[in-house]
Amino acid sequence: MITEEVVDLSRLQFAITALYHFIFVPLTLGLAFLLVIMESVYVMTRKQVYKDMTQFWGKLFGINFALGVTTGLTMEFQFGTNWAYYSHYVGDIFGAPLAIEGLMAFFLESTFIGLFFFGWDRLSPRRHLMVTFLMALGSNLSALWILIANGWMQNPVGAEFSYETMRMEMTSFADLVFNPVAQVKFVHTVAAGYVTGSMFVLSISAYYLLKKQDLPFARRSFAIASAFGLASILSVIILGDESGYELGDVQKTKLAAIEAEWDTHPAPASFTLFGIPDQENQTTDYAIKIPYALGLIATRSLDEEVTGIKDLIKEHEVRIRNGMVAYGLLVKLRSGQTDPETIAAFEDVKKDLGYGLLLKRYTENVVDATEEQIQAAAHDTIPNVAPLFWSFRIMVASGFTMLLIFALAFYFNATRKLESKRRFLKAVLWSLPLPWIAAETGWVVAEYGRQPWSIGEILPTHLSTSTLEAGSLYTSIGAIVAFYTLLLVIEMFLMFKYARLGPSALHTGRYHFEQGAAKDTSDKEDKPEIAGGAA
Amino acid sequence: MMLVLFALFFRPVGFDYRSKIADPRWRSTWDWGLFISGAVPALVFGVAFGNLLLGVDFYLDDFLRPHYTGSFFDLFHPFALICGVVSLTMLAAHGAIWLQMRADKVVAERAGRAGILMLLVMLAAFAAGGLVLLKGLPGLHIDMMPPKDALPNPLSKQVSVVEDGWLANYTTYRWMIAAPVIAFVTGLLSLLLIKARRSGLAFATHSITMTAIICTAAFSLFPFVLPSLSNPNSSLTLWDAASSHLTLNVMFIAAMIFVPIILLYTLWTYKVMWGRVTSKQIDGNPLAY
Repeated sequence: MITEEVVDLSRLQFAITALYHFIFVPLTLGLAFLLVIMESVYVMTRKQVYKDMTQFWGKLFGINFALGVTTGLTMEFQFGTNWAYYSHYVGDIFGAPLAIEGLMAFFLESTFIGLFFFGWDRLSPRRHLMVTFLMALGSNLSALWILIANGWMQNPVGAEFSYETMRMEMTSFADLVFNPVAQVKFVHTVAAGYVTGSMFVLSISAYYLLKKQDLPFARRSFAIASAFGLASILSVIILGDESGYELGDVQKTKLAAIEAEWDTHPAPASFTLFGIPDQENQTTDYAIKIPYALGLIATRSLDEEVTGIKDLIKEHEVRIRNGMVAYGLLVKLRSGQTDPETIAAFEDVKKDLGYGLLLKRYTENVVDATEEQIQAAAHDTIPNVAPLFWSFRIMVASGFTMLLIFALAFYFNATRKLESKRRFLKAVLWSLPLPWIAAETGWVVAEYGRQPWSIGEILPTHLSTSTLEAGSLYTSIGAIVAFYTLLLVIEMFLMFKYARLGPSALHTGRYHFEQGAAKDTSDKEDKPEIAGGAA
Repeated sequence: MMLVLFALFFRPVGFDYRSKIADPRWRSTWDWGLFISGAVPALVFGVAFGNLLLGVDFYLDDFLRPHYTGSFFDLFHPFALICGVVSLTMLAAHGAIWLQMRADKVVAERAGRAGILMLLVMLAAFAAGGLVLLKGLPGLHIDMMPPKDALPNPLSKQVSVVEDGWLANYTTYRWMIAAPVIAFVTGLLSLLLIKARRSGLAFATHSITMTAIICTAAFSLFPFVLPSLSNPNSSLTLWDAASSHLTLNVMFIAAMIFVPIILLYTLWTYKVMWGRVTSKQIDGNPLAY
């Protein structure tokens, strides 16, 4: 029996596992390309320090990568275990990019990550660089296919519902791949990954600079990270603006909710910088507004309107009534009454079938829904405004803070004033969580903003779950949380241990903790190794 | 499935972290994690296959939403457990043969002995599973079905339960008998080859054994992929569980392009990393593996 509880628990479990997975993903995406840059410099200059950099940051990359893979498994499993009806309904489209991801990207990155670690002694520097590059390419292609799948959930193009198979069927693979939402999402997300990787290297290098340990190593790492980070953060912000434009086009509801835009204002709409959205009364209190800004971002014009929430609800109500008709016709078709007229009538209204299904939450028999139930379903089409409003603003604020940090880091580094700016270095160190805050709130905006749909305007979330008991969900959530916490503790322990140790962890004998002057007792257990052989 | 998932959690993490801290307890904990992550899925996949042959109690409603009507403990029927043992020992033997080939001295010797033991248990369990099938497990028969290229709709066919239904294919398509026969012959051959320390050849013959065992299970079920004995009409077959033609075409093309590429770079990787791992290498570099 599918109760509200089962739906909520399934959503909670998915949210926990997805957000947890995305702690590791952006670092993998970004660090992989930083490794390529560092190793390219090594291949060009043959300076040992760049090889050490690649190996040391590679070690941290490996610690992170393992958990990225582990938590990614959970995601794919859940489509079958917790979202069985979803998988049936859209598997024909959704499955393809996921399967191609496995074939094209995942095998590539996981094969070459092995060679990256074990191949240092067996490959020439050029060949090893190629291996590192293929590993980075694999992780980025992986992001591409996953985001194509996700983009389709937001903006389902290239597919049609079939009453015979009771599911969506793909009509155009090209539409799926070149979905504008997916394309914008991919570049925005991948660039955010590059920012995460850069901030990671930048902050930890700042720590070494502050401790005055392994300075040449830290300076070079800092320089590469600040340049790559500045370029990346600029792309993220510009591409984020592009996403806003895309939203104005295809996901009007999400845009209105992010902006707490209750009424349709005369064009160009103003952007609410700050305010307290009030869902019940449909107003925003204490709003501070920037005139024209929203209109410019969302429509790139001065005369187009941004539709407000109240008007969207009215539009959706019409579509729900249409959807009820579609549902009635579908029941007829399913019972075997497949005369051409019924089919034609159904084809006419089937684009609103999803809106009809929204009523399933209130009544088994959609066609007999009462006026009240229709109104309730229409209100359901708008996600909760406050969490979206705030997540979005936290994401943007983190983004602009990082822009400032990368710009200053780049400037101080170029003018060689960096090491005297201790306060700035401390700020850089403490900025380490910023990219993660931005990425996680960004996903909240993207996915929470998609509600009440799992597939935009096609399949409501509350219909997508498996037929499960609440009890088994409590068990699985409990087990997942316990397990994930344990893994995170171990991961953080290793990360901190190796980050503190710095390049001395490579046991080359060239770095800080191995030079006798400062003996680090915590490192006693590590036996010396052959240079370059550590993995 | 959750069991498999949690077991698999240990795998990537285990490989990466086991050498990160040189402490015997740290390492042995991760090694146990790796052991679980290998053994549990191997067992569960076999149990799952056993359950397919036993039939899974589920039905599809009008909107094709599946409902499971059995209980969790129904899944641990003795026959399913026998299938679990087959798959576990089959994969363990495969690993043992690989180790005999790639390691040297003591490790190779122990691997050889383990391989023989695993193969013996596997052959016994496979034979036992076969006897249960011969003694008569109810299977399914398709009475009426829409054309194979119609739009896939699981509910449009008529299926009935028949005694010995899973043996019917071996009379309709006589050549299918080859699968279990080959499994036994190459299984015995692998035993001899391990004894003779021809691990390269043993690896090849055991690969054939595994293919044959998996084919045996698939041939018995064909064309069903998820049979339901309580609601035979809801059972899924190859044709009605398939994606649309377009999706199948797209995936076919993707596989034709990428599978050869994957094979090429995997071969290249093996070439780079080839050679016996000796105890000398490991002593020289204690934290590498």
